[in-house]
Amino acid sequence: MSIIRRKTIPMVLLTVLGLFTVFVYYVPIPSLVTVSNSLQMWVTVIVGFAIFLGAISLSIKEYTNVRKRGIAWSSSVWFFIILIGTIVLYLVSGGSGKEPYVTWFNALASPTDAAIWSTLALMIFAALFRVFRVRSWESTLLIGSMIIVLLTNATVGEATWSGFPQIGNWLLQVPSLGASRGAGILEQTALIILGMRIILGYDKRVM
Amino acid sequence: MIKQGQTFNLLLVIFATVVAIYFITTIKKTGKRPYIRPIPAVQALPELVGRAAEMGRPIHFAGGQGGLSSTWSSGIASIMNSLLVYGEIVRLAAPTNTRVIYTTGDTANLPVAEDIGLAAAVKAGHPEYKQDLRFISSNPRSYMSGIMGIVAREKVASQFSLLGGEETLTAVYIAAQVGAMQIGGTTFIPNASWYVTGSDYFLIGEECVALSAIFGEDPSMTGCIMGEDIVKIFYIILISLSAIAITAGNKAIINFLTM
Repeated sequence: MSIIRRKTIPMVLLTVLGLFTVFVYYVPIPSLVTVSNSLQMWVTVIVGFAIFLGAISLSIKEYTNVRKRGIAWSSSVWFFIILIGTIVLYLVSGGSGKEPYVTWFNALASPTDAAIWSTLALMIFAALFRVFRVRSWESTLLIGSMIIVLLTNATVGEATWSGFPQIGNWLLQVPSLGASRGAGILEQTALIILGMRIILGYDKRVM
Repeated sequence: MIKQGQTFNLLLVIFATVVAIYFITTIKKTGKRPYIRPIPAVQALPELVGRAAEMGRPIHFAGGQGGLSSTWSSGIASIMNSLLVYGEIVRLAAPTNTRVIYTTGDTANLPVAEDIGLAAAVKAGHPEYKQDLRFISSNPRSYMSGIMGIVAREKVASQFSLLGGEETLTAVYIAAQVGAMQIGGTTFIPNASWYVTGSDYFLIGEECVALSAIFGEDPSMTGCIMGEDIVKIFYIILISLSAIAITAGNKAIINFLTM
């Protein structure tokens, strides 16, 4: 494939469609909005193809790993068992909302999902333990703030002293919110610049 | 004509773009890479790889459960940048044949990561370097359990992650459990606290986005960072003026911002 077809055409498409979508977002002319909505529907279709392509690529990779007895090749075998098993179960059931696919999902997938999710509770406590170690004046400051916020949310805090909720809410609504908004605004600015430099063709690494 | 309340936003997008393009073109003309504040997390990348090489244990690169096929702009930017860091880590790991386990929950990430890793290995002079790319699941909980297993079984020496979802804490916690050195970052600010608590070095918000300019071979990309700095100065002036005006009872700036 020539360099023009491989690089230039996708770049032109990206620039034209990218600028068009940005323009329509800010200047919503009804006829153009319809076109823009259609384009955004195409994104869903293209993403579907990307996932399909990824699944094929993954299958080839896992097959090669099994054939060559590569790293953790037994996991690759499991990949095929689960992939084929799920497809067969889906086809036998005749859809995702029908038996026995639903039973399999409710009996196996949902409880496993919930069990893994519940481990986060343990991890949050472990993370708190790490934070509560006084290593520097910054961490001391953090601990002080955390204790106040903890007492703000716990009933015992207000019962002990009515000032805890006031200080705690101030900490959450002024310094914490201000800092996170500041970081958020800067991040969004960086994203705008990143997006525009790709759309305008200054950064071609995505091609 | 312009959507209600979006006039200032549109002007801001135009301003940020024009400023960034000005610096990109200026640097392209002069060819001089501008000074960029050293980011400790970036400087520690050789240490991350070196530790794994010395210990003879692998590096875990948590690619996240989301990816290039998602429609979350911040997430895609994060993945794009994390893939560039993956390339950099492979470039550093290839000479010592240190294993880098790349895990992801998005099938679309795998071929891209494979290409970037191969290009990095070739650049390092080791095209024979064997990559270890693993797809786990697009389901966050499955991804979480997958990386818990891999990190614990392989007892990884170090971990790099740019995550934003619910898998963040799991990745940070399990790596801390096995005593791995960690560099991490997120564009999702509420999750930054997990990195602060568990990582040795961390990147917050715009630092994650700046990685693509730092690791790029084209020095003109650093013009974006200079452009961001100019926009930051504009923000500081605007916020200060707004605060003064509001305190004085003048709503002219607020009306302009919401016009």
